[in-house]
Amino acid sequence: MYLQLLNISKIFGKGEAQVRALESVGFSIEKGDYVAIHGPSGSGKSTLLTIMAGLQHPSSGKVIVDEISLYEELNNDGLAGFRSNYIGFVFQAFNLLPYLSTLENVLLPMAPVRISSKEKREMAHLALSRVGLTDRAAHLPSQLSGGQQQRAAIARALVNEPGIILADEPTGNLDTETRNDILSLFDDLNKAGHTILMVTHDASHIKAARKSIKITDGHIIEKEVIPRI
Amino acid sequence: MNLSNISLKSLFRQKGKKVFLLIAMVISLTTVLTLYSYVESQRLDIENQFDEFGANIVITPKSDSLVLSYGGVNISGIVTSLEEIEYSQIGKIKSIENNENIRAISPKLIGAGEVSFNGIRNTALLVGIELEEEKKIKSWWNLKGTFPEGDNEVLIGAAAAEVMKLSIGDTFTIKGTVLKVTSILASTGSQDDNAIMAPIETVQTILGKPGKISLVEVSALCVDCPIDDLVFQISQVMPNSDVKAIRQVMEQKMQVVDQVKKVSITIGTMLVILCGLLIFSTVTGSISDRKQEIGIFRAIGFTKSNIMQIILTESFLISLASGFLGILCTYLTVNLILPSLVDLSTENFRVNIWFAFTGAVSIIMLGLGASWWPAISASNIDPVKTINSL
Repeated sequence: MYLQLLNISKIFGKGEAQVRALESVGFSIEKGDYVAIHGPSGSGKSTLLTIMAGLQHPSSGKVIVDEISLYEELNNDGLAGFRSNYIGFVFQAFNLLPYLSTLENVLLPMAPVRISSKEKREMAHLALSRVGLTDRAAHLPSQLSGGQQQRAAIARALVNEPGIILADEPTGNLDTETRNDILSLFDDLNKAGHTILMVTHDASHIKAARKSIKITDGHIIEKEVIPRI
Repeated sequence: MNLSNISLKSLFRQKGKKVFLLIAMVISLTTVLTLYSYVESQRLDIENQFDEFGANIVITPKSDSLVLSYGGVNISGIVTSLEEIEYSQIGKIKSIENNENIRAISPKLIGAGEVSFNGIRNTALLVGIELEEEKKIKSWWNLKGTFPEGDNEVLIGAAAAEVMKLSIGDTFTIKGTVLKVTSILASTGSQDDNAIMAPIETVQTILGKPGKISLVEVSALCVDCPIDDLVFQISQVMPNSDVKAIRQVMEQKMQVVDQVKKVSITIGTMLVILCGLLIFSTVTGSISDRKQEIGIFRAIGFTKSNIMQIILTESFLISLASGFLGILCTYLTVNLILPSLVDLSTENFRVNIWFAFTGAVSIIMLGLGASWWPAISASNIDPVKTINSL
């Protein structure tokens, strides 16, 4: 078992204003899985993603990655280290820094890492080549199309060779054609051995994954293994 | 790419705000350094004046009676002091331990005599002086004519010349001795204005007091010299004399400089506080604008200390630049701008390199100090709340 969630609950607010975003959620992910977490807006998908990423403490329950119980064994710096080493984030809004070039954006997760500049650049170029953006390395994000920006964001998520890629609505801001390109890229990355966990509210994305988990009102209501066509 | 690169790249965003902050810091540092340089120049000027004028010790005959004189006004008809000092005593002053601090010794014999000129008679103050020593002590004297050289040549004060209608080249008699006016002293506002000053030997002869003097003025090089020690040592070798230090004028000047210094420190402190607040508000505003970016940093694995390092490096770079530019602007202000605008009447107005260096280091410390709290608050930004899509 690579990633395991045990009875995760998350409650926001207090008293009458209390909101139960997640209720006793549990599932596990193996290395190399491609999981789609789907459900309607406000169902708790993104909250679940942030808890898995070590960004938000659950109200109760455990997140275990590689036999490490994140919120019990790691402090703030430890969780940051976990995100740096285990997690590659892909955001819906790309979240590239506008004043950095594509290459520099990809280099960003390695900024605190103490390895040589040359090695960092080699790794960044490799990540860019994997998403097909080698020729756009020197461009600013504003000079890239939406699809290219998301590819750059995926390269940024890949550059540290993370254990899991967490993608939050990665095609939400893209047109249909570009969306299919990105999904195809995720498929390729999964085939190359990357573990992918994608949050989406678009049911059509589920077909791209190998497993799907449906969440509604903070509860898992369906787990499904999707047969490969 | 490392954390410093991120700070460097980030510096060139929001250029307007950062340039504004830089200018404010440079102006603050320049003002503080310039004020300090000015106060320091005034202090040095006064020290030089101490050296230059320094008639700062007066030796008079010891007397048990009170001096019946106030503000230069003597009570008419009362003889206040008749004691005199032997001229031969002067040599003892040169034998004291701190004699290297003594710049000039000017003995004086003072008396009154009836002056006869063009048939008009006036009673005048006659002062016998040692010409060369007097010149050293009274370097501010502004004379018309030539300084007396011969035994019968005199210089007279402006008021005395006016009252007795004397001009340069005139001769007059006093107690049967004929004296020639070779120079007239421009008004000094002191008792010198009323005096006829002649070589001391001549006056001793006129007054019938050979080998006698009324008082001795001593000029000591006084910046670092122990004036009280000098007074004590002279008192030891001249036990029958009163030895007093005159410090009032210079002390008043020093008080003025001290007041200017206090005002400068107050202005400097206010500027430092203002500058600190400006840095604080600019950095806080910058962080507020960059919450999402900082959230991304945290989400992709930056620690809190990484975030602080990025923010503080930016502040350090701006502060460093303001330190260099502040020193440069101070040099320009002190050496070019101020001298061309104002007559500062000082030769000591220059930038002290060590103080400039201290100022630059201080502004860097101020920049880092004022950014510390904003940097901590930046490191505590919750990525979940700031990243749009999460």
